[in-house]
Amino acid sequence: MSAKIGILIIACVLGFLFSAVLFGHHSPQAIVGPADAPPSLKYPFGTDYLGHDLLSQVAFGAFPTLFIGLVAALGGTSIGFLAGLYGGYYQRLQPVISGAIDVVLSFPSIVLLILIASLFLASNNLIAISLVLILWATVARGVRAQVASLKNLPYVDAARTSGMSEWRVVNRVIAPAVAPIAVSYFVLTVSIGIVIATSVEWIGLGNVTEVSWGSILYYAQTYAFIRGDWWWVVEPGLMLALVAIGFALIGFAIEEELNPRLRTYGDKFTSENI
Amino acid sequence: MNFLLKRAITYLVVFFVVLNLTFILPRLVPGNAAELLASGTRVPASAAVAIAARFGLGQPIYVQYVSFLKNIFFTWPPWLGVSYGYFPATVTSLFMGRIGWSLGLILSSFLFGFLLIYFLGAKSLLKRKSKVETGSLYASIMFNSVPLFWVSMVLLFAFAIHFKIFPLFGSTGFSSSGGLSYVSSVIWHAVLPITVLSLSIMAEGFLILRGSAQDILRSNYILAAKTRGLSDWTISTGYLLRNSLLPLVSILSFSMASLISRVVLVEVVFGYPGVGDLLVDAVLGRDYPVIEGSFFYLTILVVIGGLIGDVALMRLDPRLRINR
Amino acid sequence: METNSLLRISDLVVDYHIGKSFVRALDNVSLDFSASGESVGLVGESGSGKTTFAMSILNLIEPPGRIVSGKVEYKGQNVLTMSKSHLMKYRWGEVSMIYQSAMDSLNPVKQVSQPIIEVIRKHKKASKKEAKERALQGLQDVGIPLNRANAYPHELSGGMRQRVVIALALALSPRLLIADEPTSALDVVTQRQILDLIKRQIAERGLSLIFITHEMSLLNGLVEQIAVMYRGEIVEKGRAWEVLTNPKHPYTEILIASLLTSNSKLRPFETRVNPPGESAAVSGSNYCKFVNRCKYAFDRCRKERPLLKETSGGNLVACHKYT
Repeated sequence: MSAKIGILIIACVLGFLFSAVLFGHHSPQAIVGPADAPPSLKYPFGTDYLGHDLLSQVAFGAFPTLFIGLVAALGGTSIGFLAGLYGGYYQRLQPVISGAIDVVLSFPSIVLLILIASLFLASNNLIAISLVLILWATVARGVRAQVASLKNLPYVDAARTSGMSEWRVVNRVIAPAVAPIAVSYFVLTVSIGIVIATSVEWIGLGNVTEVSWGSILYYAQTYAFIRGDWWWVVEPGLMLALVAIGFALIGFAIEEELNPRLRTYGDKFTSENI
Repeated sequence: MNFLLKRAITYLVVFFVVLNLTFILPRLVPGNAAELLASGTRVPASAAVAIAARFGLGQPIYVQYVSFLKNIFFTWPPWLGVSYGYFPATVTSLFMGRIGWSLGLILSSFLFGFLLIYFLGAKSLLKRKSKVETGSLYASIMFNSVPLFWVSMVLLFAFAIHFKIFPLFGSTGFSSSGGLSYVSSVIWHAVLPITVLSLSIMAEGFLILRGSAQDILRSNYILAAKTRGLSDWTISTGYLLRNSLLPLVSILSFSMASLISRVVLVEVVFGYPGVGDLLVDAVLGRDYPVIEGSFFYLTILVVIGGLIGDVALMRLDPRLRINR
Repeated sequence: METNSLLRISDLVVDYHIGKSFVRALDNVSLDFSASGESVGLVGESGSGKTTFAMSILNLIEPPGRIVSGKVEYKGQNVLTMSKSHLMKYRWGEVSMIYQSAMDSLNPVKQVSQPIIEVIRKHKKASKKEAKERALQGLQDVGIPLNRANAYPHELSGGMRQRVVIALALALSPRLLIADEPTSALDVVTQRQILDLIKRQIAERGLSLIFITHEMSLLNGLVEQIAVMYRGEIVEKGRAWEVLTNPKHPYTEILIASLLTSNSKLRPFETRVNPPGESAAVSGSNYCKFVNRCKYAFDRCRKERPLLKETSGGNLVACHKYT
């Protein structure tokens, strides 16, 4: 149910933006109209303080932001999955990886990103890589917990005693069982990733010359309030919010589907309860 | 005791990592030391040389490390450098001067957020599939995913500019002059930031609470409580929440970390003169000592928060106490 | 309508829904309790409906379970349609329960005296001090010394925990006590202690008792009547001694035989092992549910559902052999 809403939202937003890109008349960089114009038929999203068409800006700006989010989520989920899988299964790795997870999660993420982005040259790649360093821990934590609960189940034991090497047990038996959770984490990290990335850019640490949702909001933060251009603030953020919510809903729906304990009915019924 | 020990070790590691990062990072960035000397802004050359000397720049690394440690552990207040932008104020004094405002936001939004979680949880979690439950669930998912700084911006626009109810920035007005008007001014300025932060805390906490509550709901003691004719409220609070909140408390240190991140963003939007604002200011102004120092202190704050959470957890969960 | 029966369950039908299908946990079950301290043992394997039965008496069937039809009348009032406030008083004040697994049934973050105090304060509006005194007294009655009253469940042994549960059940001096497999989780020695404790308390307080178990041997000397449940139905009911020495229903025979005492009619190897997946009840039937396991089964058993009828010896049996 939630998944459908989530997919719907994202489909709408992306569809809208794609069509703006394909059929839009204006280039995001070009100054096309009057400054500070509220939304109108000619400029559905209005213009900013210099006269850029905001619709084009928001539409084109989607790509760098989404790109960072997707890349970071992919990286973070892959590393997190492996870390959680092996860290959760092998006794000797456990304390090391769990420790690493705890330590990483104890740092305020945005502050860390700010630190890195300000010391080194801020660019999209840097933000993406730093995001991966933060996101993997969340994924790893969840995967590790899942692996821990599966590790001692009878069917895993059966695989072990039937002569399978530990390596194969982990990769062939446990990994596929945990993979679906990893998928839900992937979706969730996309949601988190685009929000954090935009937050960092909004502060001014990204590439402010490239049009992205974060950079639009960066300029908006400085100029929109004084000039009363509320649409300048609302639009890019709204797109971001909708996409983030959309992904979050999908991730949540997957998690709910996979994890019967989160369901609201039907799990109290076993023959012992009769 | 065992539990607390394990947590303490984690925090020590965190502290150790931060400590060394604070030492390494500035020296890693090539421009840092040079920038200090050639910044040409407010740092007079003579003072720059003196600071460089105190930092131990130009000396072998281990000597630098020793003086670094000395400056932190054996000086009071700990010396983390001097701000470029607010020269000659030290990083520590800047940070401590502003921490009060940030703590105000953090503590009050924590309080409100927790209260919201508690009452929403008590009302909605016991009944499955009720409107309140689904409503709170989706509201929480939504509020957990939206960019906090954007929500702040929108609220600012709506209430400060459009409706002109709340002030535009700062933590107090200019015209306030001590006493009651000062207090009310502080409160008025804090409403929007605290609202945003509380809702965000509530959203995140409620989702986690719901997760652990689903597990607990299946256990027999909840059903057993119902057989005894206890009211829904008693069961919700004394049995369900009492047990479901425990995992929430256990992740307090992680929550502190994300909370601090959020406070930073919110302070920037509302121009609230806390440490978050200081940090971002420093970032934009390339005030490296302040950036590194803030990171250091903020992480310590996280660790303290986590420790408090763990001590609380030990007191609340009798199973963690091993008194053989 | 006032009758002289304490508790009368009539034609109770309870279903559990899973997905699109459902399972009939109780299929027209009826039981009658007269006013004075009567005790009944309820026997059956897992899935027979025993716990559902107990829960129905307290009107605690929760989704996905549903009470389809029937009545549970306590002193003439239908528990299933009682007002909420009445129900709250009824639960524990009139009918209370001893749970199976004490560790799971006690709130792990509360001291063991707490639930007792809580229930006393709720029902009797006593002050904290009074309630605490009564609670401690109740704990002492079951053999828990004062210095252990503030312990947490995980700090006590299994036997002690079960005593707490018993003290809890007796706290409001109810009229009827339901014991749902109270000794299943205990070792044999502790089992005997707990059973003795229950027997003593029943006698001292003149309580009625429903003792649910899957182990028939425990019921000897404990209860006056025994009812045997199979897949949601009561298939035999009668005086304890009669049922134990002269079982009429084929299922009861198997149960007795599995006790391997010297005067069982069947040799152990004549009993049939339960086919897998058949213990849970299925939706309404017009045949005898025991037909697949019954060594006496004949044609009529597949076509007609047997009803409880009186036989010689006074037992009620639901089997076509006796009609």
